[in-house]
Amino acid sequence: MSKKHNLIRNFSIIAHIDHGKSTLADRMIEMTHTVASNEMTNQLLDNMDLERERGITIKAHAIRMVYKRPEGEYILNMIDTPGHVDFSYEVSRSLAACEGAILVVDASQGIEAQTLSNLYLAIENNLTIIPVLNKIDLPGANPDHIAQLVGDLLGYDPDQIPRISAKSGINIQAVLDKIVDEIPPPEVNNDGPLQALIFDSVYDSYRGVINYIRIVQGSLSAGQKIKMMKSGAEYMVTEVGTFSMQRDPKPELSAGMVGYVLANVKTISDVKIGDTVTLAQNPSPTALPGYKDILPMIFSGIYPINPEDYKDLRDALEKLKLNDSAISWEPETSEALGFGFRAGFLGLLHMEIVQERLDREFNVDIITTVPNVEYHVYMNDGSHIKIESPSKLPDASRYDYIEEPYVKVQIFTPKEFVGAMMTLCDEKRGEFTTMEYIDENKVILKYEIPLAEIMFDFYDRLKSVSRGYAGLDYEPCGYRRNNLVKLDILLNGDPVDAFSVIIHKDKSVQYANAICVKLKELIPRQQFDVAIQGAIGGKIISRSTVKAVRKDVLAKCYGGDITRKRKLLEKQKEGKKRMKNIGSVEVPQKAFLAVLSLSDNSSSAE
Amino acid sequence: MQSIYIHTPFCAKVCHYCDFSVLSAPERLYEEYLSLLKIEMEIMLKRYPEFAHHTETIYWGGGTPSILNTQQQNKVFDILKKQGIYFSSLLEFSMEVNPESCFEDRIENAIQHGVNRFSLGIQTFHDDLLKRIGRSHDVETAIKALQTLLKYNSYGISISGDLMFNLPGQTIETFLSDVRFISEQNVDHISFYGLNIAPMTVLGKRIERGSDFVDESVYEPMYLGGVELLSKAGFDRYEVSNFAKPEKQSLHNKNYWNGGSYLGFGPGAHSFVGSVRFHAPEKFAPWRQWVLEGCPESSLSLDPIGKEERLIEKIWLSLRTSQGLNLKTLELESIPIPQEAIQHWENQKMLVRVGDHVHLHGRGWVYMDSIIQDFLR
Repeated sequence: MSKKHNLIRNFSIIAHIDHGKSTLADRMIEMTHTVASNEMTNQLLDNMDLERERGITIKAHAIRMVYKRPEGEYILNMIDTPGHVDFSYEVSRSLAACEGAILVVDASQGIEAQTLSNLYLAIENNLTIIPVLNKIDLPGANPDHIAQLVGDLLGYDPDQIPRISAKSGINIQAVLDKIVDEIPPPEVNNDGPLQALIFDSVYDSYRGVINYIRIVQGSLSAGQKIKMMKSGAEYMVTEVGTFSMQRDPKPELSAGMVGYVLANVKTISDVKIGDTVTLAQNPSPTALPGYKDILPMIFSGIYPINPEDYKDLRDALEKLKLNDSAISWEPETSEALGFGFRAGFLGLLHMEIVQERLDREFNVDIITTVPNVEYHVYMNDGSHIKIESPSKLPDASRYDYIEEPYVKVQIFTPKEFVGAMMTLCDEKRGEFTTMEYIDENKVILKYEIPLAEIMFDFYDRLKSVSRGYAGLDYEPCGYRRNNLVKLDILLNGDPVDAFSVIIHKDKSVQYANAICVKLKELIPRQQFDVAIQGAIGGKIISRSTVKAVRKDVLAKCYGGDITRKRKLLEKQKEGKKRMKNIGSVEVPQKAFLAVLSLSDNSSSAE
Repeated sequence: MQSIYIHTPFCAKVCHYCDFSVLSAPERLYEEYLSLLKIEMEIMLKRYPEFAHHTETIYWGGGTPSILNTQQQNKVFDILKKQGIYFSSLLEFSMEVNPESCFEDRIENAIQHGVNRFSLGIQTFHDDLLKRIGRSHDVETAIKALQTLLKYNSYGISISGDLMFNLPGQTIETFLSDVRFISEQNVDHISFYGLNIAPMTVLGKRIERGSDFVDESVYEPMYLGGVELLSKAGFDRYEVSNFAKPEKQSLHNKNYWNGGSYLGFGPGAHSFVGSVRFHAPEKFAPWRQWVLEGCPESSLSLDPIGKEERLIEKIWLSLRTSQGLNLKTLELESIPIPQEAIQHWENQKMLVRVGDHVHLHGRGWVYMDSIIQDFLR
């Protein structure tokens, strides 16, 4: 028997990056007294150090708030979501656990790239959408105008859109009331067999895997035996509960509730985000729809600096996968770097985040190689292969041509930057599709651009030429044949597979020059000259040299010098830990990502 | 072993390459310095009485200790004596001398008070180079000073001639002629140092501006050439920059490299007592204040030497010496022996392994710090 759980509301907050999601979340937590005010820190929900430092939300976070109204106490389960284009999978996962979404729009910036893409995700999930205009107290705010645009987009009465300032705490109650009044309570069925959706999970070294779940049907309490429907693994439940700021144990979770389940799960591979949890005794005949698998867009090698850390790296990746289901990997061997993994990511930011989390949370020193997209190689015999790594590209005599992935790019920009945007897109081998006006000032430019071209500095350049105003959204749109070549980088004559890239022929010389100059800066002087060369099929197209160091000795060392010099040695020792020997050449960790910091206006190498 | 270091921070003129705690000061400051030194030594030797009773070597360096006249010298000797340090029980008492203040009366007076080793800062026997690095003496004065010291040779006094190389404008041949010349004098100890350019010095700034230049590529031929000449002349390299006739190695310096204890006096002088290395304020005025406050321990800069620090220093300081590093030391601390690195440097003929010992070889001395790094991983 299905009925409505009248006092529960499950919702997400969605927005373009920087429009104020996390700040609004904080204000609502404050207003509902979920956390004592002396425990408030800014952006409470961003609990990874990385999130606070970068000021972005990477992971979805869930919290349970209690909102009192005369007619009763409402339980508001809020899921904060990331705003960056790389992380829309996080958003779509969170949305599947909700009935409604608050769409936060900056009252001066208006509709932006992720405003729309997140909105479409919410509509796909049949969510009730409540638009909110934030930052109304900023000097540039134009709430009436933006309200009209947002109203038109959603078919929502512009006068009914709450105008708030999350930062100054203006009009937050209106948002809470709208959640209660407009978002439907979850439809629940407490009697059927248990169906609970795992929407996230984290690993705790004491308690095993902590699964974040939304109960769709039935109920769950400690002592029951559960079954993961995909893996078939069974576990005894030790604790269930909801989230305030910490885990808050409860005797039971019933249909409509969002919470966690602990069952001493130590085998990480038993858990898959999107799987359905049911009871072992009375299993549900069907699983919930779950999530569609996300396809990685870019690939990069991840190698331990010390070969003996290989197993640690593997363990770390598995734990990371638990709450970052978007990452995928398989073992790979590099001549230069030894045993490691080829990992797939959703975008460059995602890659950077994974890299930093491996370093910080799991303490593994790694080298990541130049990222690349997946290429389709058409062989002479008519067959075709997919390659995720330039080193897998067969000899040029064996294949006919190569195809690379393209993306449909939508650039949102104030109209005065249209010219600059077009120049940028042309430079990135983009093909113009259309241009549309959103309003009298704002334009959407549509292009088709090779994914490889937007992977590196496209977003940064877009931001810098538009003084921060332009935004970007993209989706894959198939493969195209292009004049692509493999560029090798040689150190003292030996090609280093980790540096190889597949690149458009017209751009190869410029790229090779830039990388030779950059590596010359990054590779420290050694006891011998180090020649850095860029080569296509054995033909050298660029070179630079790191001159040999002619001495490395501190001649004088008496009483007081000992402390000073030891500290210097200790510092150098730390630096050495991040060095990799490629043949006889010592290469620092950061050199493998040198390509990411190339400036486009590089001069010739030598 | 326990040693004492006394730092006299004054120089007639500060050399262009010097980043040490020195100053060119009016003479009236000398008297003040001496009375402060007296207070400091009284307090510190009371705090660490073992140094008053069992010190085996003293090194009086600077700056320029020879800048003090005999009366001023005597104040230092008096303090030592009053603190119970008897020169008859010392194995070595060294004093640094600069050519321009190497006066017979001062040398004789020092010898009478127990100094038995002089270290003469010659640097080079070429006037143009001396000028370029801002030394306050010329070649003629240096040779005269050397002759003055050599007069006392027959009294069992040791003399070290100190040279520098890789100076701006110096050619391989000019340096090697310096080495040849000094080795033909009657000295029993020689040191030569490759110039280290410190950025905040006159020379460092000149080089940064591009108005002076040091050619790093001549470092190796100068060093290896100098070593070869000295070896033929009977001087044995016992540390990267120090060479001695048999039995004439500097005991005081060896104590630094062996991890022994030392107590320093004067501005910025370092001490190593127990498991802490520390030093007093480096500039004269803060040092004066520190002494007048009773040398409070709380104002010292401390460097606690734990197990790891001690091991790093052991590895590194051992590899600086000809004796090299005893790999057993690592084993005792359960540190894996870096076999791969040893093999790598052996292949390059820069390191030699004999039984449990490894020591630098050939060009290895020029890349010493890189090799040491591999032992610290």
